[in-house]
Amino acid sequence: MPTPFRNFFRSLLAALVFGSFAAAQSGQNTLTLAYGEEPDPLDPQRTSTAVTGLVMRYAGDTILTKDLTGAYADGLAESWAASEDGLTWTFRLKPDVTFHDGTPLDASAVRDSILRALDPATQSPIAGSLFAPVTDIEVVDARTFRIQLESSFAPFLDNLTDPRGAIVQAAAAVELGADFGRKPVMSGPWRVEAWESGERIVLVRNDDYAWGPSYTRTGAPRIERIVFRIVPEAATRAAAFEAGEAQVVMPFPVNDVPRFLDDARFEMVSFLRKGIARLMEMNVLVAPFDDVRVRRAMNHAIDASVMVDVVLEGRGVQAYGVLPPSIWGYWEGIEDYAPSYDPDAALALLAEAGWTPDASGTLRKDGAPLTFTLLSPPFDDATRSAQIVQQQLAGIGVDMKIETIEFGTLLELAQEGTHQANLIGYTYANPDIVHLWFHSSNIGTGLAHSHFDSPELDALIERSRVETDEAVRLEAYADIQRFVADQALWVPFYINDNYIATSASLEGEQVHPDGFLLLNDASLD
Amino acid sequence: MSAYEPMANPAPRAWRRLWRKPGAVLGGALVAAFTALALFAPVVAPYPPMEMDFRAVQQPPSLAHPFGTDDLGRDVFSRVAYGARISLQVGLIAVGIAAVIGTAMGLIAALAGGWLDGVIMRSVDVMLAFPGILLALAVVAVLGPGLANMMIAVGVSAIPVYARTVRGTTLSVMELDYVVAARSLGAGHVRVALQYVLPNVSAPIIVLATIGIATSILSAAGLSYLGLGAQPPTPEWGSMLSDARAYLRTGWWMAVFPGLAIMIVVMAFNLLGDGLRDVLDPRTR
Amino acid sequence: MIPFLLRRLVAAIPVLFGVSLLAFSMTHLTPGDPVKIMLGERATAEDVARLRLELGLDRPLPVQYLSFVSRALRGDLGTSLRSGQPVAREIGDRIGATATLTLAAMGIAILVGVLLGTLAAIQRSSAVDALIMMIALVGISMPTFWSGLLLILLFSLTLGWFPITDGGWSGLVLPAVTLGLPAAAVLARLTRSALQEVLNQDFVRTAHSKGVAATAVVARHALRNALIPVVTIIGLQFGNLMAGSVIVESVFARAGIGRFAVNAIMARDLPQVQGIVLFAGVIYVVINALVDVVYAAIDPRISVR
Repeated sequence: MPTPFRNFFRSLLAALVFGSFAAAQSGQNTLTLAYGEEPDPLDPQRTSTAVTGLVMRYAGDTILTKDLTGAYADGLAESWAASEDGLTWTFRLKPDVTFHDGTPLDASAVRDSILRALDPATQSPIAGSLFAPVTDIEVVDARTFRIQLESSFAPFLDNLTDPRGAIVQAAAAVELGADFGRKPVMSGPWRVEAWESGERIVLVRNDDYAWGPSYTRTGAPRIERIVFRIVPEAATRAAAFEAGEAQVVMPFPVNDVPRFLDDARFEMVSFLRKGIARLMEMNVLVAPFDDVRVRRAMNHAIDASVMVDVVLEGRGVQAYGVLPPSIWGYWEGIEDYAPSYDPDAALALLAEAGWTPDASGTLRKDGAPLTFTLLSPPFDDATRSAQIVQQQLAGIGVDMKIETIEFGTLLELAQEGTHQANLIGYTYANPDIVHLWFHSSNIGTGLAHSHFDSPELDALIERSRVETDEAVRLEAYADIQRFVADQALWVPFYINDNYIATSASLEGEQVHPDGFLLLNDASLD
Repeated sequence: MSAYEPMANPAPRAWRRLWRKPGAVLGGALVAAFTALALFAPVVAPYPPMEMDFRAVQQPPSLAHPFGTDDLGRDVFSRVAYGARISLQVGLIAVGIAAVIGTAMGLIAALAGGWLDGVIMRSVDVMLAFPGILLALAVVAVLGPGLANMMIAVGVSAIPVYARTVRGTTLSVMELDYVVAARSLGAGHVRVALQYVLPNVSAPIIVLATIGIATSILSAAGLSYLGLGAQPPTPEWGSMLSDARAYLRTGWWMAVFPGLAIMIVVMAFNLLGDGLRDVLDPRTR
Repeated sequence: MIPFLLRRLVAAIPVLFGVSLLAFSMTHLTPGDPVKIMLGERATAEDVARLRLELGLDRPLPVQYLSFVSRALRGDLGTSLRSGQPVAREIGDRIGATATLTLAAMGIAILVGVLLGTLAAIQRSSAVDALIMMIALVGISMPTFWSGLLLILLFSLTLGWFPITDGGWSGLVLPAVTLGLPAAAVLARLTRSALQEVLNQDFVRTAHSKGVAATAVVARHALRNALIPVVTIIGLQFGNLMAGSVIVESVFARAGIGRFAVNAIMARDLPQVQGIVLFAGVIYVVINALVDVVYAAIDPRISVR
């Protein structure tokens, strides 16, 4: 029988069985997390999604971690040291660490994992760039390995704590092929048991776990199962949480927050997002944004504080530059330096660029109206922000059209560079994200959707990566923030407060500064 | 399929009988009201549909805002009124596409006969192999989302019904005595079509079209709800419902009124169509 | 009977051919170069050329079509651009959920629809009849994404009777009711008119005048005859239900073919959309053929179309 038919019956049977089974399974020691996205693959080295990163926090281990104060701490490595010049790093692994399939996680396993991330055949979107400057990994003995960097790389340790850099069982990856992306073999406190497409990802406790970071429970966790329930709609996630069908929702939809704040059954934690939630990128290759005056005028014409009030309902702050206050490297001076909301200044700049209003107020140049298309992902806040911007720009005579596109397709179009402007947002742990956004090497392949090719900016970014002196690095990042504001490549909108909602029945969870729940020590009532 | 009896011409007597049916009268009245709303939306609507009043976000129904305001401070009543315009447009264009192309296909198939008939009817079968919305989805997949493409998609998905019906009617008309006589006297296809078939086929087409407008509005709203039709900030009823999803608890009026509008308009066309069918279908005369 | 069956199956073949042609042509109808669309600008000219060769897009169209069909017959519906998984497997993973939903909705539609329609026909021209017909009218006019939202608001959020996300039997109720309501309305109207037509006929009036109890008359003679068109419509409604699942699955966040199709379209994942169109088309052709066969089996008057 051809595969689809076999699958039909198998799936029908599974649906009938699972249906009742799943209802029974939500038992005592199962934590259900309602989440909106589905992983592309669960393979951390092949993913570009945030949800895979989140799953890897529980199913995988990284070489280093950050403790609850944000300082570097042990992960798989119990100790580490750098050479004088910062180019050679030696790590010593904890003893008796094993993968979920029982094979030892030793120095050569780490080597194999990192090599896989760097291998062009893996086509790693993110993990590869985490390890990019690594030129060599030397296995000194079973528990010691040495990493050679091609040049001084300031974000190096930070990258080692990124969950997408979790160590994978490379041999299993080769053996399982595409199936590794459905059920990766990692080493974390829980292991991936199943991924039912469109429904849920089920993690089951790793009873052999004994190498947790020193600031939390090092042995096997208390919670037996973690279920990531995939629910695309924010309102449904909130409703499911309220009904007790999920014990954790993160991020929690902003407009449902007030209802839950005073409810004793729930705990709400919030922190400023580590990233800019919504911003407009402009493509310098295509008119009208090939003129820096027009780009600066956009910054003057858009009042982002309205969006903070209406879209975020006050739960967040206005964004002024490319970094948020919550990421190290933020330059406070940007708040005054960046172009402020000033419609008259906008009109003046546009007039300078040749755009003058006609009788009805529409801006025209040589008869043609000032119009552009904004690509927007289908997320609620993006659509609402876009409509607000549309109205504000219409007020000065600019006609903006909104085109809603699925996020992956939007990324592809933005890479191509035929678009005019798009909405986007990000979350990242450190300021090195500016490399992904603005370095010319990322034009057409990465996130450099502005397509701005400037050796000057490149040099600034490279300096920020190489410098190990913190004060100098801060200056470098300040320079970058000023430069981008001068060139007005973006119109930043806002940074939201991320809310994590947990049920009161969950105890012992800790909110990690990187924006997730540490569950090693958590238990359910 | 059993033999097809041609429906009556929409003679004056039929119209008079129509107005005696309460359902049809109600339907007709509602359709008239809907059309009036659509045509006079700029006059009826108290606010521009896109105007955002950030001080009045998510207000429940009040004197100032009879249907309340949405999450961006826009007046829901005004948006529902302008939405009527869009729905009317969609209904008319989609049905127009379907009726014109479908009728042409059915006529040609029946009159030409032979292999052309076979080819056309097989393609109709293929289109009928997919339920309406799936075909519409396929067209949107090819053309891309957007209001215009959606109208085309909904129209295309409705073609098969017209083609089948018109072909059936044409075939039976061609067997009527006086038509056979006319043909044997040398009347060409075009003349047969225009003089004999079209008058006889207009009745079922009217019925199909009336109900078709209802179905088209429903399909279009569905596609917009899925995000494949009207783009923001267009006040299309289906996309308004989609926007209202996140606010079910806090802003029930955002979901209730557009949905009510869809339901009432669709019901109206269905009532009218039912009435027309009862009046024109020879079997219930 | 057998010759009819064979003839019916043979008649389905050109339709299947047409369906496969439609699905195949989707990639080639979209504006733009399909290979460039698939790879995005991340690709070099060599990558584009290599993929084109791999996919066989350099061969003449008829050859491509034949290879498309032969692969489909072996169960290979292509590979998704987004996930890299075989489309056939992705469809297989999700079809069960849709089938369960459709069957449940069909069950509700038949139960409620036929019951109400029968009631209306028996109580003809009374208040009950009018009420039921009004409910049926509302049923076919109400958009499913609206009724679904209202049901969620009432039964899940306000009353808490049914879960919002959990699977299992209780999670099936609201979506099945939402999906089945329009079909129930159609069946109610149809059952009523079919039954009315039968009840009007002479032989029924004769039986009635001879004193046979009303219910016996209805049960024995009327229903059996009235069921014929109803059964046909049930078969056709099955197709409509699977289509309706597109929206209902989105409203209730259920993982099934419907939602999968919508996501595939929004992501412009052409291999996925193609695979779904082909799969759905074949299923509907098969269902329609089965319906015709059942119709013929029930109604002895039908022998040739």
